[in-house]
Amino acid sequence: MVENDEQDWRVSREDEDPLLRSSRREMKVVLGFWVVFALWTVLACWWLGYRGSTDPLAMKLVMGMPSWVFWGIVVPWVVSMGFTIWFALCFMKDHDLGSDQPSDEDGADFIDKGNHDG
Amino acid sequence: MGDAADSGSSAVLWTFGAYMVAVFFLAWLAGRVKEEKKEGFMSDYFLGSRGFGVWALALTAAATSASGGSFMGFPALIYTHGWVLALWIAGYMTVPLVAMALMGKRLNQVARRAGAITIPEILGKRFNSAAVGATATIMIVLFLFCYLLAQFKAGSKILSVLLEDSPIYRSAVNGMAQLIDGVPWIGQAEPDYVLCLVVFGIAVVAYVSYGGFRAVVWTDVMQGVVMGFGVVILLVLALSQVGGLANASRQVAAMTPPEFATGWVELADGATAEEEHVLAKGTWIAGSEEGELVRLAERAVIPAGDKAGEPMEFLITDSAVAEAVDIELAEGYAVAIKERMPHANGAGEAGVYSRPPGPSRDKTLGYLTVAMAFCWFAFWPFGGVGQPHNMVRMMIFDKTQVLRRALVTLALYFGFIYLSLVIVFVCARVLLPGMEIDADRVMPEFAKAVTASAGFPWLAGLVVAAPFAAVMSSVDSFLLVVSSSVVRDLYQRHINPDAPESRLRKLSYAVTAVVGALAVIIAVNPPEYLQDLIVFASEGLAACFLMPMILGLFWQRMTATGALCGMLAGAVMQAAIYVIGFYVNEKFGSYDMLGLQPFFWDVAASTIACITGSLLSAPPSRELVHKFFARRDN
Repeated sequence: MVENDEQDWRVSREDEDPLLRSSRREMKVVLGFWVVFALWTVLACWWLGYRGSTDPLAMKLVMGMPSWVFWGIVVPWVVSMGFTIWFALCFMKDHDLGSDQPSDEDGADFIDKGNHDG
Repeated sequence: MGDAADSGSSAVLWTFGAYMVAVFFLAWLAGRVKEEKKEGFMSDYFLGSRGFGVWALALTAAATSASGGSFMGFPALIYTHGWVLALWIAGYMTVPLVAMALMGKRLNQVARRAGAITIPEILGKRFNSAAVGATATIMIVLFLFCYLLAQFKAGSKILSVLLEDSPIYRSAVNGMAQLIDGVPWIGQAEPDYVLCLVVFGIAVVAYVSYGGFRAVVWTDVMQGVVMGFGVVILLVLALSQVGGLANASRQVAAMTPPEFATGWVELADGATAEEEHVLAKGTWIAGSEEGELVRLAERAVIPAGDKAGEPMEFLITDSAVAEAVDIELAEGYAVAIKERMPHANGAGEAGVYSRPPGPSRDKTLGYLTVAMAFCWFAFWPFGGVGQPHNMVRMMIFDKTQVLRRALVTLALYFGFIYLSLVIVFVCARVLLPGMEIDADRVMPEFAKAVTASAGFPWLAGLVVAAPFAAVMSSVDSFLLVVSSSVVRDLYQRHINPDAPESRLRKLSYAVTAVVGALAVIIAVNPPEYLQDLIVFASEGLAACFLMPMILGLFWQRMTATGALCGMLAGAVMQAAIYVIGFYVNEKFGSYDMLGLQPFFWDVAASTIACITGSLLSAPPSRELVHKFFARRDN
């Protein structure tokens, strides 16, 4: 493993860009959201659908659809929409995205020749 | 009857024509705006100057992600396997949040700090490495070109279904047949398909070349709206004609899967035919056993002087499937069945269309096992966020407020579209029996059938414009991503860094046109395994770009070596899984290790390679890390 003796390449927590920090926090919530809804959907469909009755006459309908579709897909979908709207309107932080660096219209190389202002 | 069909199809043609005029008008308008903006041709042509609003962002993301698959392949799958497709697509409930909130804001910021307008450029600059940029460019061009081919094919197929009854179209097809007769490569294809492919190709290439990214986004917005309306119309008509969802669900629950069979058609009295008898594909005949109906999966001919036609394929269904609709049987014919091919899962069982795993012709465990359901739930959001054409969309807004509102719009839009499509095509099982013979055509056929029964045949033009819009809005984005990679990341970086703007401008138009033309020529005789190629390309792109991009945006220690290893490991793993699949299955396709999709193994390999490669290489320079991670107080 290669490590510098000095760790001076790192940006410390305090100096990190605020947008980066809020994005990281939001990322954790998004991943948590995915895990919760994946478990809800797959487990509910497994419980009510895969291991449910195979008799078509015994099939329960909720709002015109098989009950496993309603509880395992439609309900979590609606709840996830509600969560997404809450996340977008109340949780996600606004930031200044920064001004555009002059994009290299003259075709400079990928390699930036310095002049960093960080 | 013929006149009625002609006038109906002319109405369809007019509606569709009006839609195309609107597309071109928007492209022309976008081109005008582009010409008025004097500075920064490249950034404007490939990114529309990053100033789009909420509706543009939401609908361009929706329209690009909903490709031909959503409106052609997905309906076919719902029709074939039933309610279980609701579970297959359920991962879309997490797509808006994962696709936009996981890295949208940060990607936009890094792109601005880098002054980058393409994905290879962001990666190249983030890691200060020409090799990373070049590798990304090559991966994009290779994988996206496979995608383009498939979408061109889908667009042409929809167009041919839409226009097939129109007299003008039929005479154009005859003209095309004479034109391509004997021409190498092109002459082997069906003339109607070639005609539609050429029309589709010219239309898309013209508006993308002229209008650039702004035209793509503006037309995406319109196409997104058309898709939305198309689904509303279908939903209302399907539910009213089937007598309510509960009724449809009960009828679907009573159905048993059909059987495919081989055999031949003969005259019912066993006599020799005195003249030639021709039965069109899709003709229904009473089956040899009580309560069975047979549908011809291809055209049948009994030549004069023969007792029977050539061996062919049939679909045999239970007469219960035809309860809701009147089926006209061809009288005087019978079928002799040679071999029956029942479903591997669900044969003879009622109720399989209403519960998971869903019936399957070849999978003994059923269509969707629990493990696969989980895989798809992960693939839709995380596979989607890794696609470069979706990442590009995160670079086009200039305020985070736009992103937040677009998220709300997208969540509502996806929820509505996908749940409605499942309901519509469950109803289609009841209203349009026997479509298993050509399941990919169920969407346009169903649109035509329900609008005609409702007395508004012209509406079919608008409804069928929806899948066409979906294909077109994906093709235009892919086309632009490929051409931007060639012009910006290959030519401008490596061949002629001092090229004047006028040359870049001409080159951008030319490359867009050449890539489009090349795709049209190859798509004339597309490889048979095209659908597998789409899956291969989308998994490959996500495998290459997902982890290098996410780690590059959030992990300071990530290095150029790590990014290169990550991209290559994803691509190599993907290729290896398909090579193993080829040897095991003896056809192009993946090998699902432990029952999981290749995407999982690709991402795992890419993650390990990114982290190991980064930790084993020297840490990045202070300048580079500070440029992208440190706060800027000014």
